[in-house]
Amino acid sequence: MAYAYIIPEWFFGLDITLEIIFGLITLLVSIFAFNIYKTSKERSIGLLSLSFLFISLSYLTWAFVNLVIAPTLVDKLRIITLGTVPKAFILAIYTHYGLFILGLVTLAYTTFQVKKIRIYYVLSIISILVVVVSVNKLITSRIVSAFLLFFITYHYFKEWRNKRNKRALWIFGSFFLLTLGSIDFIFSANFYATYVIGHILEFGAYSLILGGLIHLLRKTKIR
Amino acid sequence: MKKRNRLEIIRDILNVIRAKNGKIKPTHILYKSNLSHSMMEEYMTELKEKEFITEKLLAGKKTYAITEKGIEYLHKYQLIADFTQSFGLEEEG
Repeated sequence: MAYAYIIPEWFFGLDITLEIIFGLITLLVSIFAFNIYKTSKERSIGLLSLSFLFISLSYLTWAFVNLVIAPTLVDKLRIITLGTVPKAFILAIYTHYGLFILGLVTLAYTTFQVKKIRIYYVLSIISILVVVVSVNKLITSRIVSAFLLFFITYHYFKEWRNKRNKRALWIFGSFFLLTLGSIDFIFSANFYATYVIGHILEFGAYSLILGGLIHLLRKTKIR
Repeated sequence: MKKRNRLEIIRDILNVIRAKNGKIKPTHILYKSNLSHSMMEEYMTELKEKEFITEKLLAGKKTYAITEKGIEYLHKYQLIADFTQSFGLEEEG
């Protein structure tokens, strides 16, 4: 039977806390971006807000799934197996992955500064379709996420190379960590250590994003 | 001279209109904002759609005035610009 992912017993609970923290940080970015969008009416800022909202909902769904399912405990490992959980929860797991991919597609579409909305629809449909038709949907969704994150990170790398400022480095660093985390999570069905490492990498990434946001707010207050 | 990005151009146009609120003509904006005619038309349409400016006819001639939303944009411009730059969303003008 295929595992979705394996959680070491000592990490169970802490992972849910971290997922809630990631959900709240991304929600904060989304709300902050939405407030700026209301003033500026800039399409790209509105889309950024939407992308972080998708990502936030994805993390909160994940936390909910882990909390409610309370995975089977075997040899000090909590195992989430798709075959043993009720269908509603399988749907919730897929919702988590679907929202995460949709968030990344929206972010990629925004950062690439593409104007045609059709490109967004094509990107979204292809990304979701690849996951839906694949045999192992969970691993495929992780690969798709890593792929999208790689391109977003490359965009931020170019931004940092051109600007050479602290804020650009912050964002590049955070997305670099998210890409590493996403690659790491591909193996979380087989190696429980990757589940822990993935969470730590994401914690680093979202700490940087939060730090950048706080820095921006402080700078605004000083002015 | 550094090429202005989209947000900077919008800020400059709004500042020009605010400086002469209610009396500014398109030719004056064109001269002050340092844009081509077609580019200025594009920006003016966008600013009207966003309700940052209003267009009026005074003695048969078009004049522009800045709205509350336009003034709010100018007040929060630096935050908008910093946020846009942080997330790599800057667009060329």
